Amino acid sequence: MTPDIESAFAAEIDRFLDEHWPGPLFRRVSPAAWEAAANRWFAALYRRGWSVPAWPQAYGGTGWSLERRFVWERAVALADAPIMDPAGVGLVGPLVQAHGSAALCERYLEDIRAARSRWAIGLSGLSMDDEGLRARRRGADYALCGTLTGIAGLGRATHALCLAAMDGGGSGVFTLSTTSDGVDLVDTQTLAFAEAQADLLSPPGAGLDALDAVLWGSQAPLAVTARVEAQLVRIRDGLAAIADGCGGYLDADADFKRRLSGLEVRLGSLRVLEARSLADRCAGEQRLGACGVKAGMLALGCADLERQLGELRIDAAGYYALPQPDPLLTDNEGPIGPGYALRPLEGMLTPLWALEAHRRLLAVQLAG
Amino acid sequence: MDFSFSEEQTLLKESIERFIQNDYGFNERQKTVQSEADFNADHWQTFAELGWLAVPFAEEDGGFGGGPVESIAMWEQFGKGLLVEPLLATVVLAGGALRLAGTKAQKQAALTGIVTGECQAALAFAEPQGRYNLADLTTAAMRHNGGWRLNGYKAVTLNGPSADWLVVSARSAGAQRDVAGVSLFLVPANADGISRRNYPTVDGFAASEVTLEDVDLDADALLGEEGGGLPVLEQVIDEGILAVGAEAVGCMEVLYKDTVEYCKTRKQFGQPIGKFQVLQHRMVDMFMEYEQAKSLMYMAAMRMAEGYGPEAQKAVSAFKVQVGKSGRFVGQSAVQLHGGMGMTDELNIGHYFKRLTMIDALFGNVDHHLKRFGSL
Repeated sequence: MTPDIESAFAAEIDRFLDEHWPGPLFRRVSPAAWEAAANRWFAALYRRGWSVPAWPQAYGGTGWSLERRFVWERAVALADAPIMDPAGVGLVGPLVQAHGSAALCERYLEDIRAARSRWAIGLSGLSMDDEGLRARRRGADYALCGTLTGIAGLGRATHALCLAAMDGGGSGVFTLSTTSDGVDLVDTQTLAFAEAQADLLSPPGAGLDALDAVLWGSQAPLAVTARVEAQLVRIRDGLAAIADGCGGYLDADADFKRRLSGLEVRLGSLRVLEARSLADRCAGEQRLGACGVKAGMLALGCADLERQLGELRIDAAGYYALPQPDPLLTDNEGPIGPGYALRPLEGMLTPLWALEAHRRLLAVQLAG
Repeated sequence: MDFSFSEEQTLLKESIERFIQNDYGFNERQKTVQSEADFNADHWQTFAELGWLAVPFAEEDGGFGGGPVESIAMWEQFGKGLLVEPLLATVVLAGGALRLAGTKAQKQAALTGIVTGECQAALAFAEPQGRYNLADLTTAAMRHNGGWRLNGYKAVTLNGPSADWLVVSARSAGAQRDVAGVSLFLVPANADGISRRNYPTVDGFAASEVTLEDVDLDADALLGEEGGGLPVLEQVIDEGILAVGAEAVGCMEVLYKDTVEYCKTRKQFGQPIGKFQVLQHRMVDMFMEYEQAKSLMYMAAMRMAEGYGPEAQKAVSAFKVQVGKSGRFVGQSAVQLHGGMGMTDELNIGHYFKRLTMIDALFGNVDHHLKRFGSL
């Protein structure tokens, strides 16, 4: 049921993690220290040639088998180590490799591999009738006009990947620097475009298909439950530090124990589904049929589990769910309250949004 | 049973509706949240002039003698506007403790300023180890030089940063979690020995961790009976639950209505997503959850109006359970149906979601109130 693990390979990964990453509890110290450690970690990955394992070797990938990639992804997730920019590595890289010219490969791929660029993703450009983002041909290039909101990761991004409606019909995936002429940062999640020059990274009119192929393609993550498992472990540890108001601690509280057990059972079923999905992919079913459905179920199941873990974190933190996690406050004066380690509201909204998106994707896969 | 508001209550409700429509748009609210100030002082003065700060207090204390029904009429509207001014901390919590247990002199000192909008107050009742147990106190009150000396630590004190007065719960006798031996004190927030670590909360308010180190008080700082503070505290917290619960009902109404409107506009696969039956059913469930919470809001207000006791406590706990469940469902569904837009700071949806989530954490969550309901 579980993939065969080559012990020498697993041991090599453990050594690498021991050497370059402080461990799963490190995130609790301070945001600034976390950031610095993450940058050291990315540099170590790059030096070792492990920063983009899923990419083809010609573009700097490791050439690992799917099983080895699984082992690697799971070990990194359980160690709570930072992941390379998922938008750049998981979306932009594969799109450039599939549809970009040699010049675009040179422009984008090495910076992504070396963690020198940060990518924001805006896929809501087709959502509304009158608003949204449009692309029109301008000589050999394309120009973007309109507004794009709900852009994930825009605050620190150097580049953006945007889905836009094309004048010739259909959609296209476009990339550009966030500091390009004609690009205006409206707020932390919105860009306004006025004739901004952009690179097309999909066949004209087929942006959605290109994105779909990448999301469910051979480079898609394999060990998706491990991040949730790491959260669950962190919550279990955190409960032991929070008093229950009756002289005990929450790790001994019957309600919390029951809820944790329920989540562990759910995680167990998702891990088996993950192993089945991996087996399908190893057998060569890369995209369609049962393999895609299992990947969709996994994504949906993990998002829902994350939602429930978020609720558990907030319930556990009690009044200490309220303080805004302010990097300056925590850096200068230390964390506020015993619930801090649970990071109660962190990432609460993301799985909620993802839930609906995953449901729709799965419905499309099932219903055709 | 009559569920309609009286003419006076309707006027009160409508005055808040008008203020929110005309002067408290979402952008205006966000300006306040993003400013250095914890709340908008001009708005606060308007609240005083409109009499909102005086509603729950007796006429002899400068108030209007409003009760639980007036409370839900007001707070449902406050919830729709997502107000960030410290009405809960100053008027309902600290003001409530003064109303229930304050002497004439104490009311003169602190309540008068609250009613006129000139002073702010906070109830410092929570402690890190206490979770939702109001009696679990390590903050100690000792007799000292004919007065009192306080030492301890109070957690997540809402409106702590702006408060001129703190109502502090402390143990004057007994063991850490004994029901007897809890006393309340009215303490000037600038008294020697008090230090505050201030911070914003995720839902746009401000709070403090309050450290009390050899805070010396006169004998008349004691609020209510020595060792008899817990019943006062319980009633104040239940009044707070009624207020934030009604606020949550107002939040839910905005969320489901805005979600329905959005689903009529947002198109996918060539048609408004509101045409999809699965989303229609979700919106029906949101409406059902909102209405169930509203029903228990009426029940809790009526029981509280009949007199504070076990029946009222039970109704309040039932209301808080429903608010927790409904708020979670309506908030999460609204974000899901709005997709990526639901996460943006620019849209109100995520802010209502955060407020509903934090209301669940205030004064005991679903699990806590289910246990309390069963024990009463």
